[in-house]
Amino acid sequence: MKKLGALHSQQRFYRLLGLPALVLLTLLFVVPLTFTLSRAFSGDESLYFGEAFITLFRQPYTWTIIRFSLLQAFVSTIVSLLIAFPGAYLLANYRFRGKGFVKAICTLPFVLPSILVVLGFVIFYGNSGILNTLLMDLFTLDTPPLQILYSFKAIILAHAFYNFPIALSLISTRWENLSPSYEGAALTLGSNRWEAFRRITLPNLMSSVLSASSLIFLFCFSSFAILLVLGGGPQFSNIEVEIYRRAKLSGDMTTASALALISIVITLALVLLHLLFQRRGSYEQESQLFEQVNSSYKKHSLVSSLLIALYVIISFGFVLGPLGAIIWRSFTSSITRGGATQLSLKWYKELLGLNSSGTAFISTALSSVIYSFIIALISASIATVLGLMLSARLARKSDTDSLAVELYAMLPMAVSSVVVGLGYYLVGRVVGTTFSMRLLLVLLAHVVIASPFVIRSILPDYRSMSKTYMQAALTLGSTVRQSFLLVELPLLRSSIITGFAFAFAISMGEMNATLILSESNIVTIPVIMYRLIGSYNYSGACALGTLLIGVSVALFGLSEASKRRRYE
Amino acid sequence: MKRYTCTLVLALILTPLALFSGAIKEQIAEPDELIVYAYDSFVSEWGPGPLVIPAFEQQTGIKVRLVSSGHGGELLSKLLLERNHPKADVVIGLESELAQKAIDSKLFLPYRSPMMDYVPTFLHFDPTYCLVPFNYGVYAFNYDSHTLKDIPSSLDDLLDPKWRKSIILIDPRISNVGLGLLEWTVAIYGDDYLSWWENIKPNVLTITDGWSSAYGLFTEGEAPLVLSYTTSPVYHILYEESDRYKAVVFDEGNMSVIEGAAIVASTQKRAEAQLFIDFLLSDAQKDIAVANVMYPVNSNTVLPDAFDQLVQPTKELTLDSELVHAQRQTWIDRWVEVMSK
Amino acid sequence: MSNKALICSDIVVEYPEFTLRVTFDAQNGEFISIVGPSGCGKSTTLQLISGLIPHTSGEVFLHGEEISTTAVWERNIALVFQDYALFPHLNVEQNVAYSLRYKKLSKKERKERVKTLLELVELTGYNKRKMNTLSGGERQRIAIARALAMEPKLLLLDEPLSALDAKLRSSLRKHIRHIHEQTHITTLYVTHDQQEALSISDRVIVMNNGTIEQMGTPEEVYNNPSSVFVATFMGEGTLLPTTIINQSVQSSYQVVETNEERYSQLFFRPEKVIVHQDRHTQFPEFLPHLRFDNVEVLSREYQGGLYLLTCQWREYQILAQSTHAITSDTISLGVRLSDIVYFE
Repeated sequence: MKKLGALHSQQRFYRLLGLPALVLLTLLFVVPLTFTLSRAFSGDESLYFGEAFITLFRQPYTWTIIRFSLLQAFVSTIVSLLIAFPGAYLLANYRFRGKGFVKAICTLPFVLPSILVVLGFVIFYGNSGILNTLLMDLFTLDTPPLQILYSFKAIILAHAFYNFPIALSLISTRWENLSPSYEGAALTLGSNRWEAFRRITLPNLMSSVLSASSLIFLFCFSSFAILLVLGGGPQFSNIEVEIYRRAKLSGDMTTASALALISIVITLALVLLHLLFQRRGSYEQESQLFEQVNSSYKKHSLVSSLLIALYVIISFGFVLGPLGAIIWRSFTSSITRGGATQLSLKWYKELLGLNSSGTAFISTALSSVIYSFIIALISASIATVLGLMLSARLARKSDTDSLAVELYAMLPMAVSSVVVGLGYYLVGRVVGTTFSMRLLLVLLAHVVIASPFVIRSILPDYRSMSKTYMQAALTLGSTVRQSFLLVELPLLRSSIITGFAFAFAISMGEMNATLILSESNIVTIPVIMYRLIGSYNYSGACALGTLLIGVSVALFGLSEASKRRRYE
Repeated sequence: MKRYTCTLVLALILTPLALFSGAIKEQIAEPDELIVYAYDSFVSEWGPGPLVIPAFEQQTGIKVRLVSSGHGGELLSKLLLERNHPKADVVIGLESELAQKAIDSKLFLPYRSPMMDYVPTFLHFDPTYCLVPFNYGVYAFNYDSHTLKDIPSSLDDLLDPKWRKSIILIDPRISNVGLGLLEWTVAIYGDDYLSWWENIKPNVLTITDGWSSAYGLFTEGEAPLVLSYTTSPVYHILYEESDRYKAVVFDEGNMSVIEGAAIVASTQKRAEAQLFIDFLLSDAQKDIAVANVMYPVNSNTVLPDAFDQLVQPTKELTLDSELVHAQRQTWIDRWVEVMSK
Repeated sequence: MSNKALICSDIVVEYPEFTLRVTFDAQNGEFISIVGPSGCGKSTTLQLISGLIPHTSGEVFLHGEEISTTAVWERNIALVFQDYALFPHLNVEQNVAYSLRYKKLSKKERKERVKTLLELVELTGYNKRKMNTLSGGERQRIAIARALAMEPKLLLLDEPLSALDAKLRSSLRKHIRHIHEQTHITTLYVTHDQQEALSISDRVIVMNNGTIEQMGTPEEVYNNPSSVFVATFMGEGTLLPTTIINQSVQSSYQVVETNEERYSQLFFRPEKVIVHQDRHTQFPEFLPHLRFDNVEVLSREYQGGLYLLTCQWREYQILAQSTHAITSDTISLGVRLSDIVYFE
């Protein structure tokens, strides 16, 4: 006799929730991807099946770029971890004002379009950049002392800039939640502080370190704009850049697709690794019920305060340097090139169409701002709903079945934006080139790209939420659906808001897919920025960039504010 | 709260559907536009497109739709992909080195426009007139006269250690300008071209993926030398009243490039297409030259005075189109091997 | 049939550690405790009855109706969880009133009901308080108030006091009993503390490894345990093989329990042991009893008014309770035959 337990109807509910999201994901993402990949195997008439692969692997250059892709990702990951670790220690063990602010600032680079980051780097670290000019003035030098850019160093630096916040956030959160009694016990048993750290704390942090590392490695591996501009030549090229080259240059879609396939295989493996580490971490946290986290903070000493201040200044300088350079640049202009610079709102006036000088097309920037906002609003909303539904599905069980689903849901993150763009491009050829169709495609592309980040915001919180809330609500008379809406959702409020903020910011800053899909009539802020940079109007690009930075800061402020109202 | 979530979700789903239905309607309309494929900077707001197209439409009453479709090789491959469902009527942006490949593809309609009479013979690079020239330029190294005291005089001179990390180059695999330099070295050094590249490496600040990135970095002051055109300084003279940036010509010669346009063979609008080509070669010439900052092909074109301030190339180099067609890939592959070490 | 609030008939659930098999019933208004060691299946039983876990066979009757296929939210069975599961985003009032939205009550009636309940749990005025401002004991009482709000047919409590300190436990225990007397709701109370079970229940169910070992009143379970497990779980005691009877029995009659073939072990509680330390006086027991001489006192534990003595007799240990201090190290012990329980 089959009995219907609450468990069963719960599972059914969540499974149904996940379904539309998965369907949409398949349509939007997997289909274009298969377009891309099928071309990898049989492209033009002249090639037989799989020839592209054989040709590729015969060329030593292919191996060079695969090697280099892995190498630069590896070094970037290590550097990011090293920078993040002291910060994680400080954030986890000391309480000081403005912690949330620090965290928000550090997340900023992540959502900005990489082209803006690159611009910021050039303006700040470049040979004629702010840093070098300052140093040359200070020490009256002839040649710029810090020749960092267009080299391996620059790539690593830019990657660390982008990614150390990930390590910072993941590791410090885990550290914060570690029970202080572990370290205390080790100390009473005879270890000194360093040994206690090495033998007790560090192994416990491992899951978050590995989780962060795999994610950072993934992002650095599939990095595109940074390598393109800051690298400086074919010896600093990775697979993504090569895909872009092949696709653009000779329309050699077959080789581009073959490379894309290689790239996907590697990134999928990385995502899988990351998911496994992530799971291990979140279930470890579940066992803590009503821990009083606040009491475990250490007291401030002079040394610690100084260290905090030092670290904050350095990391802020590191992060804010390029960003600040952009903001600074947007407010300055010079009458003639090479003349004295002065503060002015010239670029903003042009932005709003109030000035009509020189490059006439900045006036369309205002419409791009509106476009960006609307697209971001719609795509973020859809992505948040989808991400929430998928998270509900994934939070329930931890078997291999749902690991596969989770991997599937995280696919867009695994695949680089270049490959995504390529896929959509190929779809676009078939589907049609009308304005509305393109707008729809752009919207959907944004939804697909943003939803893994929504899931990443919501799922860990969901997993560590106690299951008894749902059970209590059921016994008190509400159905599964009602309990989900009345009890579980409100408890997820802050992570849902964070997810939305993330999705919104990502949509605002998304460039690669939009560029490929939009042609000349749908322009968003990043597209205009790309063109401004293309017509070497860096200052105009900076004005738009400042706008983007402002919006992102506001968004993260919003999500931090919602987090402050914690219930437990 | 429940009620509102439902309507919200519904609204969000319906919006794209509404857009989509609009799309279905749109696809049926507009059968009488002339579709012109051109490269990105032609189509963009700062390119010749916004000037040329409305002028043409006004003069002839023919509606034109300009579609951004990439440059050179990319453009050609797009057309090859669309061979079975051709969409374009006219294409703009196939340079002279692609002539052989273009002719072989049989995608294009020969058309010797009457305007070709005003075009000097050396620019008639395609005897079959499948491709006609509409624009031409000469590659040259540009320098920042404020920071550079010494001026290089030849390709060899650029190898001098005093230019260490001072030159911005462009990747020949993506950019025609970059490819132009590669061919330039072949034209000067013949089979020994790779050793120039081997030796230039310490002097290169960076190799960018396109001309605009390179020139942008140059004007930002990252390096005093950049690969560009002899005509590039015109922009600064015209719009910034500055002669800070200048081009240098070598006695041994500078590489030249001719950009062409063509009519797609499968077009249903032959007459309109031909009118367009005519217009491109006559009334549009000035706008194109100024916007592209390159030379017009029509010798009757009246150019702004700024063009007079340009340094004229002493010798213009070209390479045989068949040679390029046969050897280009090899040159590029070798280049990659040398540069990626 | 009609005064049986709950009947669990042959409920079977397979687990890797054991097979859960329960059959029992509860009268209307009864307070039944389920005791047992950790992992014996007592919480699982509650979850089964509430419907949160499915069972493969057997039936559950609530007031005569079979409810195995009824959904959790329709059973009207309240469950107070071990971690209370109070919704953090709602205040006290909203938590308590959660179930009331499914009953047709006016706003005024709802407010009234909440007020009455808060009075019942002695937390009047706590309406707008947030969950994270409440102490453990307060949370527990709110959880109970929330459960009672729905006027359930059955109240299930899953180790509600295990997270609290001893003093609080004892006062809340009385409180729960008091509430039960006021509301007369049939209650199932799960605990691992046997003392707790004995003190507040009408009947006690002792579980081990998924099965019910014994069900009876507290006195029955304590004084007449049906198995060694129940005996040792429900309190302290001494377990000895029946072979010692012949060696130690003291009786003026020749009546001796001749069930030795059937039973192999005997058991008695410390408080039933007579302690005699003065050698010079006669042992103060005349009824048939077992006598243990030359008993060495190993340790004395003062329990606040009573002494628990761990003693050694031959190769066995005996637990004895004494109301006054025992100073000598060698004493005599005795236990009446009528106070001995026998096991197979």
